[in-house]
Amino acid sequence: MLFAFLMLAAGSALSLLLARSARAARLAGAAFCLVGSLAAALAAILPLLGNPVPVISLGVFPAIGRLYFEIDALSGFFALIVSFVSAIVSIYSFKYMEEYEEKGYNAGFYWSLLPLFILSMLAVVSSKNAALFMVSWEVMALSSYLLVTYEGRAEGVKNAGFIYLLIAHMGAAMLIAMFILLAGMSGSLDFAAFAGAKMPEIAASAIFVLALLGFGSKAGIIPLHIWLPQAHPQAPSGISALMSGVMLKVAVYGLIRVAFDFLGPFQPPLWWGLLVIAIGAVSALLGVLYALRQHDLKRMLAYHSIENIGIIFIGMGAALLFSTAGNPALAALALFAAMYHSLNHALFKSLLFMGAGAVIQATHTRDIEKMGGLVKLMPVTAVMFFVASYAISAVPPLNGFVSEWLTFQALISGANAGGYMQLVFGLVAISLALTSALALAAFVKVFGIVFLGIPRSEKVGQAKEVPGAMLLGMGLVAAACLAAGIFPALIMNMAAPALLSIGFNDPSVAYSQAASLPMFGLFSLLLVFAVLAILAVSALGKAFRAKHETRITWDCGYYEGTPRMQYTASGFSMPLMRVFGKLTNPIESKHHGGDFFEEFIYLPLYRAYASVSIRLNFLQTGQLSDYLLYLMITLIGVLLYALL
Amino acid sequence: MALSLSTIGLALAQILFVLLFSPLVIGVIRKIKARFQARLGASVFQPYFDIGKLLMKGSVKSNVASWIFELSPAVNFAAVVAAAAILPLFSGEGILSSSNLLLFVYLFAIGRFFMALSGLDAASSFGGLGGSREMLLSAFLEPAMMVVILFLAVFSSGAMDISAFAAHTAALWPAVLLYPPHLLSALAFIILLFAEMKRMPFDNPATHLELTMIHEAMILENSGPGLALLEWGNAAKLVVLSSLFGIIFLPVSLLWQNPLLAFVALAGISLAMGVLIAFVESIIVKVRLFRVTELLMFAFIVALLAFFSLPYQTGEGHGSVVALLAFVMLLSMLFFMMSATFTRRLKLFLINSTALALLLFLVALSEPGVDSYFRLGSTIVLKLVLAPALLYFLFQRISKPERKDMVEQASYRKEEFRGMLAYDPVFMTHASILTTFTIAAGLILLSFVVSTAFGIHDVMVPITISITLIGVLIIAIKPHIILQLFGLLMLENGIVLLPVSLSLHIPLLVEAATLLDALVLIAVAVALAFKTRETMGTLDSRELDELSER
Repeated sequence: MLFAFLMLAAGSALSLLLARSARAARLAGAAFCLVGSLAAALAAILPLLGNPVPVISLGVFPAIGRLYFEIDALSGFFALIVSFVSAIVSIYSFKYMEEYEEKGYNAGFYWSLLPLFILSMLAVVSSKNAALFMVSWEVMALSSYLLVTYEGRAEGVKNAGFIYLLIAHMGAAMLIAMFILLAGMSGSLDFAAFAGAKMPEIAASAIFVLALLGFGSKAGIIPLHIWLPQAHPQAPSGISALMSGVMLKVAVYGLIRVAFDFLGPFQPPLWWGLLVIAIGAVSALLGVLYALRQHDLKRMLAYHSIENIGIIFIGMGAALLFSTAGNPALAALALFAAMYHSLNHALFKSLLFMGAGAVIQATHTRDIEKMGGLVKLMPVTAVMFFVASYAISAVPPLNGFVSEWLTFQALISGANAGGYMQLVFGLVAISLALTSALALAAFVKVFGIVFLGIPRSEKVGQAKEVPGAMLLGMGLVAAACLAAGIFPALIMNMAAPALLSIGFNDPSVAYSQAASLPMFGLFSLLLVFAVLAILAVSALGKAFRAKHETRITWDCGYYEGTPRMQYTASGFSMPLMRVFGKLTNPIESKHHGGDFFEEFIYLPLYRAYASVSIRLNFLQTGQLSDYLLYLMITLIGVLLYALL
Repeated sequence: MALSLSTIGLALAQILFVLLFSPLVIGVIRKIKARFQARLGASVFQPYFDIGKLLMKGSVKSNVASWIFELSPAVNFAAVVAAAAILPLFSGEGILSSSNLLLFVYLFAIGRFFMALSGLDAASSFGGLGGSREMLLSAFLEPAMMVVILFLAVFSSGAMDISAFAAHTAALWPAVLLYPPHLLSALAFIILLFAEMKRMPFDNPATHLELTMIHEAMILENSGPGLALLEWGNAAKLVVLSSLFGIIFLPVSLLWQNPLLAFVALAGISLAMGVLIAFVESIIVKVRLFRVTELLMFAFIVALLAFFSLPYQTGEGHGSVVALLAFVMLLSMLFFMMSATFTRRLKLFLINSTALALLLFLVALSEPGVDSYFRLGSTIVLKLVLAPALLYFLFQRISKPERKDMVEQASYRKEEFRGMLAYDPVFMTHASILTTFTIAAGLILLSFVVSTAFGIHDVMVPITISITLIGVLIIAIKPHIILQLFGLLMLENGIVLLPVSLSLHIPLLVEAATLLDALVLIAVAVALAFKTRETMGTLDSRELDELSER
C-alpha cells in the first residue's frame, strides 16, 4: 500500500521534472501509474481475502488526532475498482495522449496530474480520519478539475471546469459540515470513533442529509448532476473514463461509509430510504431520457453515468428501507446489488469512454450524426464498444445484467412485504424496468449509428484503427466485463467481507437470493454453446449450398443507397422522444438537447443571485475605512450575541 | 436439481418439442386466417417446407453489413433455444438451479438487442425504422411485464421461480379461475404476448409495407438460411411464450408427474394460443404505431390493477364474481377512453351497465330485500334502457352533415395531430390518451393508497373509488357533451356501487332520491344539449368556449 502511494507520488513528481521531454514524461508517468495502481490493487485484494493490510500512519497530531490510512474490506472493494481502472487508463492514456502532445499541450503536466488524481482517489477510500479524508477529497476535486480543463484552448472547457469546481466545492462544504457534526457527536475525528457514536435522531438525520448532498453532488444525482454532462465530455477520454467510472464510485463509497457504517447502529427512519430510492429512480429515468436526446457521444455517455448512479442509489435506498423494516438479510442483498453495480459501471463505463476516445481520435468529431460504418474501419474498437454497450444495456449474460437482476430481486422481495412498501418497491421496480428498456434503446442507437451502416461524413470515412496500447487497455476491461458477468459468485466472495465489515454479519441468511448466482455461469455456457452450435451448423451448411452473394442493400430499385438514406440518431430515438420527451422538458426548451434543470432551475437561480449581488454592489465602496466599519459592526454584533 | 443426466435429457426434449412443434402452430394460424378470408389456404405443414427450403437456399448479403448481421439470426435463435432449455416445461426440475422468471424474460432482450442492431447494419432506412419502433414498443412492454412479474412474485409470497409460480397456481386450482387478480394478469400477459410476437394489432406479420411493419422491417435484408433461422426462432418463441402462459396461469404443473401428459397439454395450449391469434388477426385491424402504445399502456394498467389488489380480499365463489364484475366495469371505462367511434362507446357503456346490473343481481340474490331489488330494477331501467336510448337519440339528431363537418374541421386542424393527440374522427379529446392513461393509473394508485390508509380489506372499495374517479376523468378530458354524459353515467354507476362495496344500508328514500337526481340530471343535460346545438350549432365544448369569448 505504502509502496503504491509512493510510486504514484514519485510518478507525479518525476513527470513534472521531465516535463521538458514529452516522451520521457509520458513514459515515466505511465510506468509509475501502472506500477502504483497494480500495487494498490494488490493491497486492495488482501483485506478481501481476509488478510489485514498494514496501516500507514502519518502520526498523531494535536486537535486532529491520528492521521492514518487503512484499507478495511469496504475500502478494499472500492480501492480495487479505483486501482484496476486506473491501471487500465494509464495503459490507454500512454498512446492516447500522444495526440495532445502534437497539439502542443504539456505532457509533463498531464502525467504529473494523473498519478496525483489516482493517488487522491485511493487516499479518499482508505483514509480513516476526517481531516485526512477532506484533504484527499479536495486534492481529488482539484486534480480532476485541472485535468478537465487540460485541453484549455478548446471551446467550452473553461466554462465546464468552472461549473465543476463550483459544485465540487459546494459538496465539500456539505461534507465539512457533516464531519463537524460527526466530530461533535463522537468527540474525535477518527472514523473508528464515528462508527460507535451515540446521537439523537435529529443529528443523525442532519448528518445523513449533508452526506447525501455532499456525496450526491459528486456522484451526479439529479438535480445536482448539472456539472457532470459538461465536465466529463471536456476532459481527455482517459480522464472521462476515470471520472465517470471511478470518481463517482468514490462518492458512492463515501455515502455507504456514512449511511451504513457511521450511522449503521442507528435504525434509519423511513424517510431516509424513501428519499434515496426516489432520487435513484428519478436520476435513473431522467438520466437515460436525457441521454437519448444527445448527439454528442461523450455527453451522452455522461448522462448514462447519471442513470447508472441512479440504479446504484436505488440499491442503497432499498437497503436503507430494509434496514428500517428490520430485515438485514434483504438489506445486505440490496447493498450488494448496489456495490456490484458500482463495480460493473466502473468497468463498462470506462470501457465506453475509452472506446469513445478512440472513435473521437480517429474521426475528430463527437457528433454521432456524422459517424457510421466504423465497424469496418476500426474493427477491434468496434468489438470493445459492442461488449460495453451490451453490458450496460443489461442484456444477459454480461455483468450489467447480473447487477441489475440483483437489484430487481431486492426490489421484488421488498414488494412482497405488503402495505405501502408493496407500492413503493413496485413503483421503483417498474421505473427501473422502463429505464433498462430505454437504456437498451439508447445503446442500440449509439452502437448502430456510430459503428454500423456507412460513414455519414468524409472525415469519418478515413478513420483508422487506434494503436495497440489503447486496444490492449480496452481489451482488459472487456475481459473483466465478461468475467464479472459469468462468474458473479467471485464478486460475491469479494463483496462479502465488505458487507461483513459494516455490520451485515449473517451471510447464511443474507445471500439466500444471491445463492442462485452460480447459475449464471452455467446459463452463459448454455447460451454460448447454443450460439456456437448454430453457427457451426450454418457454416457447415454453407459449404454445401449453392450461392452466397454480396450485393448492395435493397434500395427499392433505385441506385445504390447514399449515407443520407440511412436512419439517423435523432430519427431513431424520435418515437421514444415523442412519447417520453415531455418528461425531460416539461417546459419547451429553446435549444436541442437542453437540460431542464440547467435552463429552468440553475439559470434562474444564478440570475437571481447575480441581481441580488448587483443590488448589494453599493457595499463594495473600495474605501478602506468603510471595510473597517463593517468589521467593527460585525465585531459589535458578535459581542452582543455573546452577551445574550 | 441442477445438472444431471435426466435434466439434460429433459432440456433436450423441451428444445425438440419447441423447435419441431412450432412450425405447425404457425401453419394452423395461417390456415385459419385463410379460411376467414374465404381462401383454401396452404397445408398446415407448409411452414416446415418453407423453413426447409430457406435452409437449403443460398443467401444474399448486403455489402455494407458486418458481423452483427451475420451473427444476429444465430443469436436470436440461440436465445429461444436457451429459453426452451431452462423453462420447466415437462417437470419442475430444470438444468439451472433455479428457473428465475426475470432471467427468462431478459433472454428476449438478447434477441431484441441484436435484431435492432442488425436492422441498422445494412444502411437501409427500413431496418432503422423497424429497430426504432421495436425500441418504442419495448419501452412499454418491459415495465408492463415487470408488473406481471411483481404480481406473480407477491402472489406466491416472494418466490421468483417459474416452478414456484406454477406450484402456486396448481395449489389454488380451480378457485384461482375466479380470482380476479389472477385473471387480470393473465389478460395482461396475453396482450403482452401479442406485442412480443409482433402480432396484430401491434404489427402485421404478413406485410412488407413500411407504414405498418416493425419486425418485418428489421429482417428485410435477411435471406436464405439466416431468414430461416429468424422465422423458425420466431415461431419457437410463440410456443415458448404460450407454454410459459400455460405453466404460470394454468395448472399444467399438476401433470408434471407424467411428462407425456404435460407435453400434450402444452402442445394443446400452444395450438389454442395460435387459434386465438388467428381469430384476433382476422377480426381486428393493425392500429397506428402510436396507438399501439395505448394498448400496451392498457395492459400495463390491467397488470397494475392485479398487483395492487393482491393484499385485498376478493370474496369467495359468488363474492369473487362480484369483484370480477366490478373489474369489468373499470376495464370497460379504460377501453372507453381509447375507443374512437360512438357505437363502440355506446357498446362499452352498455357493457359497463350490464356488469353493474349483473353485480347487483348477485348481491340481490345473497341479500334479498326491497332496497336490493329496487337498486337492481332501477339500474336496469335507467342505465340499460333509458339512458342509452336517450343518448342514441341525441346522437342521431346530430345530423349526418354536421358529423361530417366535424371530421373535416378536425382534419385540417393540424396542431391537433401533432404531439400525442389522439386522432378521433368524431370527437376529439383534450389530452392524449397516453397522458390520460397515466393519470388514470395515478388515480387507481390513489384509490388503493387511500383504501390502505383506512385499513380496508375488501377490494371492492378501491375499485369503486377508481370507477368514480375515472368517470370524473372522462368528463374532464372529453370535450364533447355526449361523451361527458357517458362519463357522468359511468360515474353514477360507481356511486351506485359504493353502498354495495361498503355494505352500507342506505334508506330506500335516499336511494330513490339519488336516482331521481341522476334521472333529472341526464334529462336536463340532454335537453340543454339540444337547445345549445340549436342556437350555437355545435356541441364541442372547445368551440363553445370560443363562442363565449366572441
